Amino acid sequence: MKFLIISTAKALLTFPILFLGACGGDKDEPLEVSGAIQLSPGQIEEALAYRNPGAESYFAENSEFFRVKTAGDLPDGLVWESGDGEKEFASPEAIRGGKEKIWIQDFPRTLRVVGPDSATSFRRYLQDDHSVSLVKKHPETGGYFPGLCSEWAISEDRKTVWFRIDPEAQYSDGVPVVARHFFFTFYFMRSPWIQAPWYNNWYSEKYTHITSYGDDIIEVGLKDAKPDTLRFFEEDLLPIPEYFYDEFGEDFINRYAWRFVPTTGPYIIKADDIRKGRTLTQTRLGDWWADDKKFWRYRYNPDEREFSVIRDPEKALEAFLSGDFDMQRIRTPDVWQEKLDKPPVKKGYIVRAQFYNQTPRPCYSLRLNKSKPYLNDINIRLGLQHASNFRLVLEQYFRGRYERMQSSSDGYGEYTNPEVKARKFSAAKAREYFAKAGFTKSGADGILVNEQGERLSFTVTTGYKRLTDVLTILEREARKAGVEFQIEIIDSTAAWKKVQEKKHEICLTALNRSVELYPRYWDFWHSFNAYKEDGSVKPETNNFTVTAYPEWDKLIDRYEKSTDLAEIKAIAHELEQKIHDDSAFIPGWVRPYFQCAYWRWVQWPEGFSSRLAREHDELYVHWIDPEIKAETKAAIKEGEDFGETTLTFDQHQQKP
Amino acid sequence: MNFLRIKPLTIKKLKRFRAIRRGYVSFLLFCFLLLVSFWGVGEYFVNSRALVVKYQGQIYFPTHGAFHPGTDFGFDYEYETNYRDLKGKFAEDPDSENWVLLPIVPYNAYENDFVEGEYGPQPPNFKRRHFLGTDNTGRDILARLFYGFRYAVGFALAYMLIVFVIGIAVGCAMGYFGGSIDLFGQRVIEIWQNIPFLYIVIIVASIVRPTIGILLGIFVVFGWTSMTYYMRTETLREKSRDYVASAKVLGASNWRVIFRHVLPNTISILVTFMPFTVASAIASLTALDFLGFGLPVPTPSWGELLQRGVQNLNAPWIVTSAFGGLVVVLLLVTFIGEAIREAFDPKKFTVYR
Repeated sequence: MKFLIISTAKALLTFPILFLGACGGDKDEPLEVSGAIQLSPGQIEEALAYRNPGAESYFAENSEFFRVKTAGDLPDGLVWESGDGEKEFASPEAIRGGKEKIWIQDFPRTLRVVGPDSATSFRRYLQDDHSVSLVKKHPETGGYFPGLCSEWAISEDRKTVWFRIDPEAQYSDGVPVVARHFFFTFYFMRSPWIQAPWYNNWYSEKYTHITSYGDDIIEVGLKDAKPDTLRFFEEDLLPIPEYFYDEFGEDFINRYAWRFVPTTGPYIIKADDIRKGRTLTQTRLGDWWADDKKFWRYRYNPDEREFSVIRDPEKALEAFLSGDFDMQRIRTPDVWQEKLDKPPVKKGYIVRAQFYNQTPRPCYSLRLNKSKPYLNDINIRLGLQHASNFRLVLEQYFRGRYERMQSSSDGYGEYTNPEVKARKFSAAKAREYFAKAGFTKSGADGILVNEQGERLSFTVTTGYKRLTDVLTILEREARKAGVEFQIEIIDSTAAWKKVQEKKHEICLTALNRSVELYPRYWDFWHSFNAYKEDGSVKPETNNFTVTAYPEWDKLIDRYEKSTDLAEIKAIAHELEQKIHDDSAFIPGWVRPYFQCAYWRWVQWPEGFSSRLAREHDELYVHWIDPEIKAETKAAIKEGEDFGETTLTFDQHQQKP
Repeated sequence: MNFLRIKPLTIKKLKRFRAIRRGYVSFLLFCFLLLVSFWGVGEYFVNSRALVVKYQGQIYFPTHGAFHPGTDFGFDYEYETNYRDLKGKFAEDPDSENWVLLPIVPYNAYENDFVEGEYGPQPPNFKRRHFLGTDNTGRDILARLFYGFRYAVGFALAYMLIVFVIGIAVGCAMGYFGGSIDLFGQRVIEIWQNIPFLYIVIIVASIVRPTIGILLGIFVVFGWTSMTYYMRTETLREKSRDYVASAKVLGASNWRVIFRHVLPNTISILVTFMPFTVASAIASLTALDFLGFGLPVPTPSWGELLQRGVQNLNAPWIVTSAFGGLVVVLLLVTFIGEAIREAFDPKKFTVYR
């Protein structure tokens, strides 16, 4: 008994200590293992000479993949390009300095960019937006400009690419980027220790070899030839500093959870600037290696970027309005119209901006599962097309500010078939089609029934709780056509699983799309993703409509293999027409622009942003003007009125 | 059914209840609300269907029964007639003998009454008879509040009934028979009570589309235990009284002893718990709806209304309506509960002084 009391007392004492330790863990990281510390010349030499023993033996075992050659072995006749013809998109008027304050909904659970808990919305600030990749897509033209490389060359069969690494390229700790680091990327990304199957697979499947010609030239082989070969080097194949991972091992997930990896980008995170659960501050490097590069200068202007956690978006909006944050992304029309209809906006301290862009749109749409009863009937599908009143959703819920999606691949420029138009709502037409399918009589509640007395009722599944209102409007309107939608709003993970297993009847989904040249069809419309060999529906694929037509398969296979852009365009148009005729895809809506609000001291280049930008803060071309900031602060004190300012940039608006 | 006969003692208690003014008035008000919102009755007050339509010499009563397609009244559509439009149409022609009588609130809880050019929640508008305004999709707040009340109270009453039946049966058995039944029953209940109810609801609601039946089932499965303990204690106490012993000596069966002697004497504890059970059921359902794990969309529900209100603080009529409604109903139920407890207080009317 005595023992019990003592141990309980001990437990009570240790508990708060453990708790405190977990909360204020900002001091427990040794300073030496941060990429935010500048190394001495001696240390840099040491870092370059470091060879990870595991990687060494891995390279030796896979000498077919990892090839080391000398500069003299470089093939002749390579045509080097450097994207010189592209225009700059940042403004030379940009002023460096100042502190930008940003809100985030969740504190990042790790500083790692791979492995469990790393795929958060904060990842873009750690890597995607900031790290310099070998090449980058030009946000205006869609061409490429150099990042870590100074120039590149592509083989004629478009399966091999050579990069000359920029001699000035270096990490935040001062270590230059060398070819060996790209080798290490493969070793790292294929390792089971990172617990990231997607990366394991990508780095094992997509590339055929990597060759170094000295420290500054690499050659990378791709398994498949693609017209837009460089897409594989935009976000992937970033160099990984081998010397930093000298403790790389089984416990990687925990050991490297809070170590800041040396970055090729402009912002570092110092150990002292992480206050877990509350704020995190990024500091701009004083002399970033890319500061004078044509496509990188005048960007990443604030000296500090402070991220604060605010869990509730409504509260964050209020904080923004009271000046706690500099910018605010606007996602829904009610924020733009009503929730921002407040004094700081009316007096012009806060500016609202709307920028029309041209990117592949997330495809908010209803997809009909053709493996379910009645939905395999083309007349029912056609009826449902006419029974879905997206016009009313657009007019009332989206306040006429969004546009109807016309085809399954809107926003791909000339690769989008302009002839395909979404079908319009018409209760009468829908009833005609339902009648053809045998649903002729109305039940007591107004829902159509067939001869066998079965009601025309479908379950619409979604994981988007925020789109509840859209579904309730669709449900009410569908009743007019005599069809019942049972709305099933479940947890997003559960909904995704249900849809992937094709257990849904109709689903409301959207898949985000990266900026690509032409749409993908294989994932959504190829029979490979519809049925297994034994004839049962195939789970874990994105063919949500369970489409399997041999004729389409042939087209898609040709499309996938083709390197001829004219052919790709022709097939894309043909497939789009077929998808329209097949009617299993009911196009929803698209937002042809992005919107944001910002305090007037945030300045932008002329034209605000670029054609392919998806968000206002994606290109880091804005800056904070200290004079305007002081002027605004004074004006707020005096109550001075600048007049409400709403900016619209429609230079890239696509007129229907 | 002899035990259901009202005894003088019970009459005395009821009289006392009537004398507690606050509780009694609350009771009458609550009964009135129940009656008005009752299935089949509420439709005469809040409904999109007209009460009476006179069209081409014929009189229709569309409130109940099958729907009338628009073609019945001279519209060109086959879906349900919009009676507000119909009224407008008849009004255009002053000579016509056609007329429509609409309910006080001419909207149901589901329909979107959009006004061209006006977006988002609309403030109360007496001309359009949106007495408490509308929500984001143009649905009438009063209609949603009204039918939400029906769901909430219906749910709570059903819950109370089932929980009481199970609680009485299990509690009585444990208390009366004692021994291993009691011991075993208690352990099962203790274990059962430790299962986190909220998590189960959240898990179920995130996997399937919760219907009112499923929700009621989950509530009952995790709610029946609380009543058993009170019943067990009461039964134990009554069992040890002399009158039970005498009944046994006279040769009364267990059945007779339980139903004729023990149960009637535990009635005060049952009656006292009733209103509080109802109040807690309403509150729990609302809380679940608020968190988004409750009734399926688009069922009118108070929790959903509250949540919508909190999300749209710039439309204060939503949150005030929902909050006001909730406060009023919970207050009424609590007042009733307090009055019952006072009226049925055994210390005042016990025969075993």
